[in-house]
Amino acid sequence: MTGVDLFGTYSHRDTLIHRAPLWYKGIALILISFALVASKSWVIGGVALSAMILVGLIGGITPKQWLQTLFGLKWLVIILAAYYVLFGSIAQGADVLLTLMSMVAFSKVLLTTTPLPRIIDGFVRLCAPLKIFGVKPERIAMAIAVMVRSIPVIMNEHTMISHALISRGVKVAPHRTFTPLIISTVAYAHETGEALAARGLMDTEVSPPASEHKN
Amino acid sequence: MKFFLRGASDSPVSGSFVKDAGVSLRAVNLSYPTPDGQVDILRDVTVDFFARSTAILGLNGSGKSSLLKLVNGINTIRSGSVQVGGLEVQEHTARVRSHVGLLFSNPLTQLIMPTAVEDVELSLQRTGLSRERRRATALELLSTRGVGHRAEHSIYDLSGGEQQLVALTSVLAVEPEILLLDEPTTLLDLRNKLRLYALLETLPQQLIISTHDLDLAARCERAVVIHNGRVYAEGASRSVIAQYENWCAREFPTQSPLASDQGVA
Repeated sequence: MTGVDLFGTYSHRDTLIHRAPLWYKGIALILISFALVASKSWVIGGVALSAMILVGLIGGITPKQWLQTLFGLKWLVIILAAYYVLFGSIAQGADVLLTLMSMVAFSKVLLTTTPLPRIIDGFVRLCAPLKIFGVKPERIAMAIAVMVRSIPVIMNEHTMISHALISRGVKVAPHRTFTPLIISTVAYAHETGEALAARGLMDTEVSPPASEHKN
Repeated sequence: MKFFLRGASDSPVSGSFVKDAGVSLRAVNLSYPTPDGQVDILRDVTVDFFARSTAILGLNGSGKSSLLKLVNGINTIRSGSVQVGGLEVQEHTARVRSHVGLLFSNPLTQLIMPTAVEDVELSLQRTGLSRERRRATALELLSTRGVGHRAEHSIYDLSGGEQQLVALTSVLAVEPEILLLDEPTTLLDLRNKLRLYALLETLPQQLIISTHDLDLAARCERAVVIHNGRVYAEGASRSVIAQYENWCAREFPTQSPLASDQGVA
C-alpha cells in the first residue's frame, strides 16, 4: 500500500467519467456533501460510498485499487469505531465513518479521472470573485495543488518508516511512527517550499520565456 | 571550449539582467539559527563564476549546496553581496529567479504535479501562456528531452533517470540563462549519469554544479573547493580536482590556502 493508492493520481483513459465536464463533478461534489452533512442516517453514507465505488469502477479504478484505498483507512476506521462504540452509538459511528470514506472515495474518483491542472483551473475560476477582496486565486490553486501532492508523499513516508521498523524487527505501531513521520513531514514541507521558490512559483512577477525578452 | 563572460563590474542598467555578467559573491557570510545559536555556513566568501561550467567540490556539510541556494535567492546572506547578471539577488530575487534555474539532487523533491506533463506545464504558468499553449509546449519539451512517451505517466512510475530528465525539463522550460545543479548525479545509475553528462554539454546555459562526482567535475571548465564554509581552491578543473583529492586523502589545511578567499571560476 502506498500513499498514491489512497487518493489516486490522474490516470489517462477515455471513459465516461474522464470525459465528464469538471462542473458536473463540482455539482456532484456539492450535492453529495450537502446530503452527507444534512443526513444523520448511515444509509445515505452507505449509498454515497457504493455510488462512488461504482462511478470509480466505470472510470477505470480497479476493485484491487479500491480495496487498497479502503485498507489505507484502517487506522482511522479502528480509532473512530472504538471511540463511537465507547462514547457514542454504533449508528452514529457508522454515519461518520461512511461519510469520511465517501469523501475519500469521491476525491479518488476526481483525482483519477481529472488532470490536476483542470482542477486547479476550476478552482481559479471558482475563486475569481474573491479577487475584489484582494485574494489571489492562483495562490489558492497552488496551495491546493501542493496539498493534493503532499498527501501521497506523506503516506509514502509512513510506509517507508513502517518498512524501516519491520526491517529492524520492531512491530509497527502508531506511537513508533508518529515522531519520525512528523520530522519527515516538516522536512518535506521545507523542501517543497524551497522547490516552489526555486522555480519562481511563489513570485508574483510574470516572466515570459527568456527567448521572448533577452537583454 | 573555454570562454569567459563579461565581468560583473561592468555595471548594468539598474534592475535589468545582463546575460554575460556571471555570478559574483563578495565577502559573503551565511549562517543558520540553531537552538545553540548561529552556525556559520559560509564565511567571508568571495568568488566569481564566469566560466560556462563550474563544479563546486567539498565534503558533506562544507557549504556547497548553501552557496548554490544563495545564487537562486533561496538562502539569505547575513552580510556581503551576491550579484547575478549584475543584479543584487536580495533586492531583485524574483527577477533573478526568472533567469536562474535550480535542479535539486532528488527530482521527487522538485516535481510537484502528479504527471510529467503537468509538472512542466506548472513551470510554464508564470510565462503567461494560454493553457493550450502551455500543454503543447510542455509536450514538445518533454519529447525534446526523450521523455515525451512518459508525459502522461505518474512521476512515481518513472525511473530515477526519467524523473531527473522531467525535473530538468521543468527547470529549462522557462529558458534560464544560468542553471544551478545540486548533486545531479547522486541518485543516477551509470547509464543515466552518462546521458546527463552528454545532455549538459549540449545546453547553452552557464552551469554551476555542486557535486561529489569527480567525473562530472572533470568535464567542467573550472572548479571551486569549499571547506568549512571557505573557498580553499579555485581554477582549472583538473588541477583543482587533483588538489581536492590530495586533501581528501590526507588532511585539509586548517587555513584556506587562498588567503583572501578570492577567486574567479
